[in-house]
This record gives sequence, structure tokens and C-alpha cells, in this order.
Amino acid sequence: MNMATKAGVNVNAGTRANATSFQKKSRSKLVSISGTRPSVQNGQLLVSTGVTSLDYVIGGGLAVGTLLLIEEDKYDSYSRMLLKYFLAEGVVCGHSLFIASSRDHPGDILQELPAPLLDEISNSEVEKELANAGDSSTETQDSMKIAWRYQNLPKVQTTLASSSRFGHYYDVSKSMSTDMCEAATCHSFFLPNELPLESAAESSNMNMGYIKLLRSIQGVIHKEGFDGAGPQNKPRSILRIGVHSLGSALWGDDDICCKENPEHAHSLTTFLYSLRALLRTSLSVCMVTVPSHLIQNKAIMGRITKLCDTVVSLESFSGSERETNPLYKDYHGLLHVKQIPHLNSLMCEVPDTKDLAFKLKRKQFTIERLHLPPDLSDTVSRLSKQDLAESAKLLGLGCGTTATGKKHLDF
Amino acid sequence: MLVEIIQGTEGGGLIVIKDSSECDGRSLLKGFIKAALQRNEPVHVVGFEVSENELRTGLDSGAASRLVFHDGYSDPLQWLGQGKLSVQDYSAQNTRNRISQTDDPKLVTLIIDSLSWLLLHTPPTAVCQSLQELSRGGMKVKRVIALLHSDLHEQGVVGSVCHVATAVVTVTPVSGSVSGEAEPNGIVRTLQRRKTGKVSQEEECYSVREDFSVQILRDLGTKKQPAPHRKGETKQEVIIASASLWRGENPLPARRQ
Repeated sequence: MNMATKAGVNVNAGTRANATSFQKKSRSKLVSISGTRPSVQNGQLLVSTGVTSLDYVIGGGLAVGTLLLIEEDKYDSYSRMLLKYFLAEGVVCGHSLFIASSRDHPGDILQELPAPLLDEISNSEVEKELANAGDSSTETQDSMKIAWRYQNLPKVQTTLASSSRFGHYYDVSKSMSTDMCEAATCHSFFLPNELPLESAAESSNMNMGYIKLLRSIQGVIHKEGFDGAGPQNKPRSILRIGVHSLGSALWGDDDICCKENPEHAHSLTTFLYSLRALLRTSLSVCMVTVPSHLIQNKAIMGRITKLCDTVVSLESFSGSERETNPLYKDYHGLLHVKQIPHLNSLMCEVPDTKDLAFKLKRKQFTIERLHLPPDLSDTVSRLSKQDLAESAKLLGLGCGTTATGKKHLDF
Repeated sequence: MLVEIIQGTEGGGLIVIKDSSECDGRSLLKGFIKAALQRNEPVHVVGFEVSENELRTGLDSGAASRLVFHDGYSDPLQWLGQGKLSVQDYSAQNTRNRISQTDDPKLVTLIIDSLSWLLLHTPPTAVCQSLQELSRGGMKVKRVIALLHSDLHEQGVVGSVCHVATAVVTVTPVSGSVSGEAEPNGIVRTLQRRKTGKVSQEEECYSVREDFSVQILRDLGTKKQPAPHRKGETKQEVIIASASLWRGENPLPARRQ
């Protein structure tokens, strides 16, 4: 008990009755925050992106303190959807939100979040089970016969009280209820409000809009205590930062998207570098969407990719000739995983296939392996129907004869 | 889909008409103006490229009183000092002030002719931000329709401007032989982004008549899966005349000599 309080971590030692007097000497490094779980690969604390298939593709989830970059599809429909899933997951898990946008007001984005599908395995059910286990004496006939010694001991709580489930499902056609939205702590940054439109002052390193955004994020992290500065008695939470369409002309960055050889390309890269430094030193996670199809210079995109941790790019079929291709008829677009970080390890978890496609259904955003159908063209040599008929005739003559058609059977 | 956008049933936002030197989009822009005037809406034109007289030709004089022209053409460098609009003065706030000088309670359709002139003189971010500010609505402006000459700018600039737009109408010249009664002006490809995130795209063959009403001659197909051809069917193109929408007008298109 003393070790747990020394570590300053809210471990459920009080609720768990000690079966033995043995205590582990090492401190428990895993902080139990709702909506997180430790990674099985490298021990990092993971949060869900809101889309369970995306969690699987990037290695179990998004590590706390990292930056996820989504390269937008051409008309920004699916990347916006992913951002909404990310924020909705934060609301459901009880995390704090920080929404930054230059185009739509963050309040509008918050109102458009998809409603979560509340499933059967909710917290109330778990409590009912525990209550039933309490009065085991009445159920001696129905319950399994276990050794009488163990029946008197209270049930060990195997699930973490903090997170009953990692990753939820959302119904896109309905929007989240307003009281759920209001219950979440949300900080917003809307560029036209923060920056008067006619200001022309620009610092040498970074665009004014980016500087203001960085200061705003830093202020929130420090004020709410996500960097460990605040008092320890408050239950820990994660700050989810969502930035929409960074690098577009609406953020005041007139170089990256408009020119082929921009002079101030370092504005965005410096911002990402500073943002990642802020994230590493605090309990926060960030999702940024960038309209990479507008960025003319591919070398800059390479630099941006290196500066972020996990990079995923979306390519939607709407408006392109691939929409009518029967190969892709079940899907809405392709998903490319461009980069997965090596966090405290030499290797990273690589998805086993590079051909991933996504589809957005009402209740689920699925990412699946793209299967190529078998090649049934005429060039493939196969037994024609005529040969089969002839070999059938030969078989009819007797058991001894082998059915060799006029052509060689090829396997 | 072009007709719905012209009619304004789809609501606010920013509509960008992209043209090039091969095919002029100004006639389509005047089609938009005419449709807005027919609906009794006040129209404000911020003009830099053509004079007021040239813009008003073809529009009937009764409706022309609702058209307010902010002159940026006759005195671009403001040598005469008569209070004309100059490109340096352009901003969302200034435009709004100019619009609210007329005391019309109705929401205004703002036409910008043209965006290329602005982009050549002011940084593209300022233009995009001002367009976003104006088209967001809430203050006097119902929708913004802007003309953009795509071959005057870099691909990145055109891409950035179209990224801000809710609908992009691209006009291209018609190639090959065309059957039908009216001579088409060109092929228009409309791309519309709805609030729900759905994107729809359509390609149509259009023509603009002398009184600047827009007629769709032929639908060249939406971007959807093509229906399988049945053997007995001959490929006959259907001429769609949107007569019902133009109240009382002659459904047959005028024969161009």
C-alpha cells in the first residue's frame, strides 16, 4: 500500500483485497486512465482513434504523446469523418478535447459528432454481475461446484475499473446528444476569431496563425495540468487535440499549397516539430489533417511525414474514374499507411498487407484488406467444357480407363 | 445539377466558375445574375474586368435596378479619386460595408468578376480567407459567385481556391460534332460538396441563350456506375430542355441561324 501511494498513482489497491501479503517491489508504471490501455508490443499507453479497424492497422491504437497525421482525400469528406470519430471517442471516454479549425467553427464540429452505439456490455451489467456474485449462498445449486475454500473469498476484480472497453462504435446518421457534448470539456481555437483578418505581421519562423495555435495548446496543457504540473489528487485524463486542414490557405499559410517552390515552407514544419515536443511532455494525443493533394512540392510532404509519428493517407474514389471500376465497387476509397513510429523499440508493428480499402457504412467505418479477384480471362489455360464432356465419355466405358481428354490436363 | 445550383435551391456558400481562354465563362456568370434577378434578389457585382455597361447588356432594364455595380474597372489605380473601388481596398469587411450601404433587408447575392484579378494583386491566403468569411453567411450575403480564369494562375492557387468552394463549375469547350437544335456553348462539369460530406459530380452540355437564360442540352452522365446496354436499344441522346423551370418561356429553344 505504501509503495502505491509513494508512486502517486491512483491504483485500485484499496478495492482489491490482498490474497497474500506479497507486494511487488517495483512501482506500477501504468497509470489507469479511462479509455486507455497498455500496448502489448512496446508497453506504451494507447488510446483508441475511434475507429477500431484503424486502431488495428496502426498497431493497436494511438500512443499517448504522439501525433497522427491524416492526409486528406480530395474533397475532405472522409478525413473530416475520421476527425469526428476521434473527438467522439474522446467524449465517450471522458477525455478533454481541443478542436482547432480555420474553416468551420469548432462548435459546429462538436455538434456534428456521431452518436455512440451503446452496447449490451455496459457498466450497469458489470455491476449486476458483481452483485449476483455477492450472494453466492443462494445459488449453490446453480453455480458450479468449486472447492469450498475459495467460495468464501471475495471475487477478484479482473477488469480495470477505469476502462470497460477500448474502442467504441458510432452511428453516423445520428449526432451525439447535446448533454453528452456539454459534459465534455472542450477547448476550441477558431482562427478567424483569434486573428483579425487584415493583420499582416508575420514572424520570421512561423506563420502568425500557427504561433497563436501553439501558444493556445501550450496554455491549455499547462492550465489543465496535462503536463503533470497540477495537483495529483485530480483523476488523470488525456487531452485529445484535433486540428483540421492544417497547411491550407485558410490558415494563412500562403506558400505550401499555392506555390511550387515555397519560401516559407519551414513554417508548417517548425509548427509540427514544436507541437510534437509539446505532446511528448504531456498526456495528450493529437490528430492533424493536411490537404496533401494541394501541396505541390513532394519533398515538403516527405519532410512533413518524417516530422509526424503515424501517417495515414486517404484516397477516395468519388469523382475519379475508379468509382466505376468493378474491382472497387464495395469500397469508398483506399487507405495507405505511410508511416508507423518506432516508440522505444527498434521495430514497429507493420500491418501484414499494404492493400487496404475503406468503406463508410452507417454504423461502422471499416478498413479491410483489398482482395483482387481471380483472373478469369481467356488467356488462362483451363479445361474447356468440351474436353470435360469427352473425358466424361471415356470414364463411362469402364473403371479401368483413365479419363484423358483430347488435351493434356493441366493443373 | 447546374440548373439547381443556378436556381439556388441548394443554399449558400461559395460557387467558383472556372474557365479558360478556350471557353469563356462570363456568359454563364450572367446566366447566374439573370436567374438571381428573376427571383427578385438584390445582386451586387464587384467588377474589375468588364465595364458596367458591358455587364448590363442583355439583362432587361426592369430587373437591372436591383443590380448594384461596384465599379473597380474604370479607375483601378484611383487616379481620379472619385471613390471607386480599387483592388487594394478589397477585403471582407470593406465589401460588407459597401453592401450594407443599400438598405435592403433581403440577403444579397454577391458576384465577383473576377477572382483572377484579385489573385494577381493580393496574396491568395487573403483572398481565400475573405471568401470564406463572406460565404459563411450570417451577415447580409446569401451566396458568393466568383469567376476564376484557371489558366492565369498556378495549379496550387487554383486548387486552394477550389478547396474553399462549396461548388465548382468548370467550363470546357465542346469537341467533336454535336447533334441537336441549339448550338452548345460548351461542356460544364459541376462538382458539389454538400454539408453532409457527400460529393456529387455531373457533366452536362449547356448553352446560354440571348437573354442569358441557361439551358442544358444534354446530360453527359454522372460519375456513377454505367447501366449495362441492352441489345435492342440504339444510342439516342436525349435533349433535356428545362422548360418547366423558366415560367412561361417557350420550351423550344430558339433556332440559331
